[in-house]
Amino acid sequence: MHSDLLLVIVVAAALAFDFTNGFHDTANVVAASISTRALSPRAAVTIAAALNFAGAFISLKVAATIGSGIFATARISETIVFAGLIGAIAWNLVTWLVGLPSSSSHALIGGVTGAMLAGVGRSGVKGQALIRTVAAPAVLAPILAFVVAGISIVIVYRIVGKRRPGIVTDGFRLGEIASTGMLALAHGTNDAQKTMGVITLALVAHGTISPDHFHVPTWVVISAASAIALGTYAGGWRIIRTVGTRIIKMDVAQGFTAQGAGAAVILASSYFGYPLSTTQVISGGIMGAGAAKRLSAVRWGVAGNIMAAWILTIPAAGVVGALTYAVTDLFGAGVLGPLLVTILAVALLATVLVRRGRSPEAVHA
Amino acid sequence: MIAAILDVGTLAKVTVYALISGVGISVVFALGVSSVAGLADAFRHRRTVTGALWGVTGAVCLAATVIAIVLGVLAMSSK
Repeated sequence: MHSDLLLVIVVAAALAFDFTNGFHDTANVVAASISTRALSPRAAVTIAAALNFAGAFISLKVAATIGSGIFATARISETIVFAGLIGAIAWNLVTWLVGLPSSSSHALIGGVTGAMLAGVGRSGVKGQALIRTVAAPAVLAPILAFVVAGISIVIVYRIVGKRRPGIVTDGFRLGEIASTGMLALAHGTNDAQKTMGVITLALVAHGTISPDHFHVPTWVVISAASAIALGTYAGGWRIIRTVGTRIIKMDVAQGFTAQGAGAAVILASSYFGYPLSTTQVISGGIMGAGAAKRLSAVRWGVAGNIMAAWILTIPAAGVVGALTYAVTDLFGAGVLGPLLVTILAVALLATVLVRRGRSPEAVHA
Repeated sequence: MIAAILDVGTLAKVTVYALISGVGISVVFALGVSSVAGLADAFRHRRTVTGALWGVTGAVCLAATVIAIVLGVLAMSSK
């Protein structure tokens, strides 16, 4: 009975993370389209939510990478998964409150890594796999998106530079709508799978699924797809504003090339099975599209804050994950620790949201 | 040792694929948009042959863009 309740809490935490992942990462998909007026804000998040939902059904390979590629699944417990999720949710909420785009994927991996190190020790984490499949692509992907978007915008300006703006603007707006759809589909494919992987890890730890026969049940796929779509529809407007207007002042051609570069990098990386951060890729693409036009077009202060958040994501989520595990461990291996942490986390979140809602800044957010 | 951990070969493939597809799709789509604008200009000045050439170029480029999008979705589904 207690074990079943613990599983319910872990699954609820995983879906809560998936929801935060959706609204946190909406900006990656829709910010360029909204800021260049290719789509209205509500139309953009509706399209993004629908395609995120559809994307979650396309593939399960990344779920398997998260579930069995980085962590020693035989040694994982439900409490570790829970603590990791709390670390990831906490980081997602903090960065959302300050309007910084950071990687939900890295927050999740960081949170579970921290909890795993606290609960099992170094043997619970496959260090080389972590470097190979997470750290190296995390460094490469935004640089690649920066370069691809930069090269693309230089050539695109040369091609359309002498044309009448009206048709060109309308054309690139259509292109942006298509690239927004591709990004939303790719995001659903990548990110919903991460939650599927985590829930499946909890099912393995609970004994429902054998570690030797790792597979993702259908109800997990449907619930993860629904949570990320709902989160996307809710829209993280603070981060949308940062990505869409605070890094560079985007024109439609820049918006299109940034999104096109992002989609290309995400697809190329995903094709080889790397669980990539869409946030870092899109931000890198936007910076590249701005810097290629004029270096001073990029607000490097904002870009610097975003990059600092990228560097901090895995360690910060890891520390919260490890601390959460330590607290729950004080109450033994049962359900009491996770239950108390859940109540505390919900109360803390409610307090923060109420205080933010009353602040003058929230009125303009 | 470092090459074995980082899987440099696969990362190099990711780089090449992303560069070709990312720059390629942007350039092809921009050529398509530019061709449609050229078509409109040519018709405005009653240059039918030039307009037809721009039209064909635009259609080819936009078809190539659609094919690239379909290939992208297929690549996602084959993961």
